[in-house]
Amino acid sequence: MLVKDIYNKHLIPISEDITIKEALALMIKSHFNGVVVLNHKEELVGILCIQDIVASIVPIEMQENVNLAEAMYKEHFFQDMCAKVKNKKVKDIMRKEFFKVTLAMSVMAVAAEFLNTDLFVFPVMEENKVIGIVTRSELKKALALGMEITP
Amino acid sequence: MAEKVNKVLVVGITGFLLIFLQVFRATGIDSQDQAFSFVSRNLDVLGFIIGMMVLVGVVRESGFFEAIAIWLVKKVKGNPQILLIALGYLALVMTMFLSNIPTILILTPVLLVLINELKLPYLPFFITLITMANIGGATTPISDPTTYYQAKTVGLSFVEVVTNSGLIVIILSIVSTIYMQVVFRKQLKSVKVKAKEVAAYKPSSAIKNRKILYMGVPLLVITIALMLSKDFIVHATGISFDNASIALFASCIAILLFDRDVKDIFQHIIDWEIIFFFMGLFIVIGSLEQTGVVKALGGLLLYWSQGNNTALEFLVTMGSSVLSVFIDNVPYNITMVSAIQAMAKVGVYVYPLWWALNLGTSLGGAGSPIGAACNVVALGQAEKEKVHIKFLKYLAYGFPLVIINGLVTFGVLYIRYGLLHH
Repeated sequence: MLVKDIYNKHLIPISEDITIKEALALMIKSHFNGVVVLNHKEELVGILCIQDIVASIVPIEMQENVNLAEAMYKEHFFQDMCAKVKNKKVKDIMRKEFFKVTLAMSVMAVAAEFLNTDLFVFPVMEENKVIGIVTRSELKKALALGMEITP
Repeated sequence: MAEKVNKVLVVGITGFLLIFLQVFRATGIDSQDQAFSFVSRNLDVLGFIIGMMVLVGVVRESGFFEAIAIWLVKKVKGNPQILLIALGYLALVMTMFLSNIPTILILTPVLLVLINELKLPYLPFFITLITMANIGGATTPISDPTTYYQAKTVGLSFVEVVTNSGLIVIILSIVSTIYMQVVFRKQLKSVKVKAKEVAAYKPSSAIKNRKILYMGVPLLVITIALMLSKDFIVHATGISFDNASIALFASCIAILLFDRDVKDIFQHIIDWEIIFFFMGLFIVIGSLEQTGVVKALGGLLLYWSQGNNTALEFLVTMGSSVLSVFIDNVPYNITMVSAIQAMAKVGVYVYPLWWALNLGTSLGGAGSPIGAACNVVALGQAEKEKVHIKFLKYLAYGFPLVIINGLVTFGVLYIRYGLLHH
């Protein structure tokens, strides 16, 4: 089974210059938890997923020590941090290092990479252009195909 | 340059070049064997550092120390001025028993959350934390590896260190606290923290591992108590042991009790960079002893002080304080221990100089962002949260305090060993 058999051609690209609030609104509307980010030349420059937005609002010391997040939670701190981050640009927090896949790549390689990262969105590339994505939904589809589960 | 090439490589390459150049070759002794003997005669120091790293590294996973810090924040109702004093003294006390790097690793995340949530001014809090963690290192032989090295090499007892250095540390902590309250008064008063903002804090939620809390913390306390009473036990029972054996034994017990992976301990808890730095330094500074450079340095200090004890005390206190602001205090301290020993051999009264050196290097370490390893650790963690403290800005507040603390130290030593001794 190859990427071309499972990938999602329905793409919601966002601009690196929109705000995080706008990006999140688009993600909610499109039901995607991760989207590809393009620059003004329509080139792929990053990936933005829910984890990246969460990481930007949770202080590093709380990420490293969950108990601290519980022990030192000030009322409304989560909302305060959301308010602090919402008008930042997507390019400020997007992921610039990520795994890209091609149509001819095996699903096994993609599945293996899924296990190595917390990023569940891989852009599918053809001639330097992004033509689709592989997310957990597509991997679920591949598993269903492999186990011969009919919808 | 020093920042670009790792200091372990600097001492490592220097040490091996000295071996190859046969600097250590003595009559009938191979150069390498002689060089390595400088390491082997310090195995107690290395064992003590490794043992405490493991023990403290495992015990801090309990979350106990974070819980104390959060409890303190609640207790002072988040008042910035009182909080500065409370966190400063917590850092001082923790450093006395855990040494300064673990203290900084535990308290910096708590401080960063406070800065983030309560909008506290970061400069006063970071400078206070670093200052207290540095001066605290001079309190007891187990407070800092250099203090331990000095006490061990010279043969200074626990009680001697505490009643000399330790007492002056208390004075310096008071001076430093007053200094911080004065120079940062505007910044501290400009922030108003409402008590209800910290009322919801739950110190007990900071506890990560109750098994370590109930068994690991007592194990640490027993280990420290054994180190404190070691001289008495040895004297009363005739059973001889030293801090390295105590710390390493306790760390083995901790690994066993809490079912920790030994490989993980070796890979993540023991800071091999510090261990190899010390080993390299023992060799390099051993070469300075072997070649008479250290003796010459001792002679130079005597020449500058014109053989006057008071001038010598002033020179060592202030020289150590100022130099430690800019250079790594570990090699400095080890070199100076040898130089002072060389002076002692020619009959100079050096007893106050041990405290001048110990306190000078400790208090001087707080003077700049690069003065000590714990400063680099603290400010590195702050950088991750985009809290950037400029070198010169830090120096502008830190350096005057070093001078003040240096003069206070000299003053106390002068009264105690200059006026009263005579």
